[in-house]
Amino acid sequence: MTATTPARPILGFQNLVDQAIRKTEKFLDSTADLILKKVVKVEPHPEPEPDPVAATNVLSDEYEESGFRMKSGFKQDDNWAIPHMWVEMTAGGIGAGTFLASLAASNPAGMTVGFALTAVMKGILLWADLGRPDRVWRVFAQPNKSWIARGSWAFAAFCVFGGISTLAALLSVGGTGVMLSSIVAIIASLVLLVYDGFFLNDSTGVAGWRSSVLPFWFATNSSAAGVALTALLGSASTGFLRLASALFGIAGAMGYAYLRDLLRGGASARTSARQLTDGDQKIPFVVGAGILGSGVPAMLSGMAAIGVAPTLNIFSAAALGVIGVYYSRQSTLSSGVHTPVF
Amino acid sequence: MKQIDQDDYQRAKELVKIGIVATIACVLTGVVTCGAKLASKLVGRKS
Repeated sequence: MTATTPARPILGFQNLVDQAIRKTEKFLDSTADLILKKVVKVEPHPEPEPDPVAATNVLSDEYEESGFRMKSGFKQDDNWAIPHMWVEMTAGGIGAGTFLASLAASNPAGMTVGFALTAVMKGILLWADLGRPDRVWRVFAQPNKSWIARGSWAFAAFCVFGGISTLAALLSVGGTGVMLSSIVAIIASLVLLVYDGFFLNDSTGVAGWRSSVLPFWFATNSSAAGVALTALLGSASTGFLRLASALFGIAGAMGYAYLRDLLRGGASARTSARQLTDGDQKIPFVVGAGILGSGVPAMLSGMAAIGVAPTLNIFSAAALGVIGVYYSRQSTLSSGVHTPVF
Repeated sequence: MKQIDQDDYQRAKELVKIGIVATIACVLTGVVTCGAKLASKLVGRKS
């Protein structure tokens, strides 16, 4: 007789994380409605229910116009376009960026925050995302072929060696062992910074995620937010603030380069680009990731570097940097469109 | 109450949501900063 394995052995925990994220989403939605109705005093025109097929299946009629008949139209991805993933990628990216910047600045408080964001927060969300936690070891297979495997090894290495380095920094312990541990933690952090982008690059069905610019855009805005947080946590030297300003500026330029790359791609990539410039993701991409997440913090950290209200400007730049990372993930994942089937 | 287009309403709602998320991010950043600075003082290192 063979023992049956439960499909989701830690279902309770996974549900808990899922419910927390759904409740946050509902809270945001209802609070925004309340503010618009009670404070701004506007409401939407009542409109007839949209056609469910048109709403979910066809985001662009580009192929129909050219005479091709599609069996299924441009469909928005529904595997990764979930708040769970945006928060997990945000925590991992900012954590790795903060850890690296804090290690460079010998800032134990920053290293602790970076380690906690990646190892604990990303760890909890990753664990909650596992369909079969009893088979977790399988994600480590074939790191030569899969970015998910490379990311899993980097995450495991970061948890062990990043933890040792953070503890050593907190206790002011040095030595060859700590130095070697820090080197491994640095390599793991660098992999984690680009991992999300390369992992999305592997999604062959979603042209909007295949851009080569994506991993480096994600890595740059995570690093910028990490440097700003490190500055806020006590390493606010002029050089560090200039670095933060430059990284925020480069991140903004790379977001624009990503959009340009999509516009030069095929019909699916262009459909994703339209989502980012004219569709549902316009505000998150342009305002959230672009203006508030890159442009404004670049300016604020630059102002802090020349001595204009440094504390307030560093604080605002760090908080807006976090926003930028979050909305870059949300807009990119939510604008992912599957190529039609003919 | 003024009635506006569904699309405009959704865009306004997204802007308000970004504002709320920004506020939450500010509060969390403040809490994390104060917590980390306090913790490093407690373990005897000035960050």
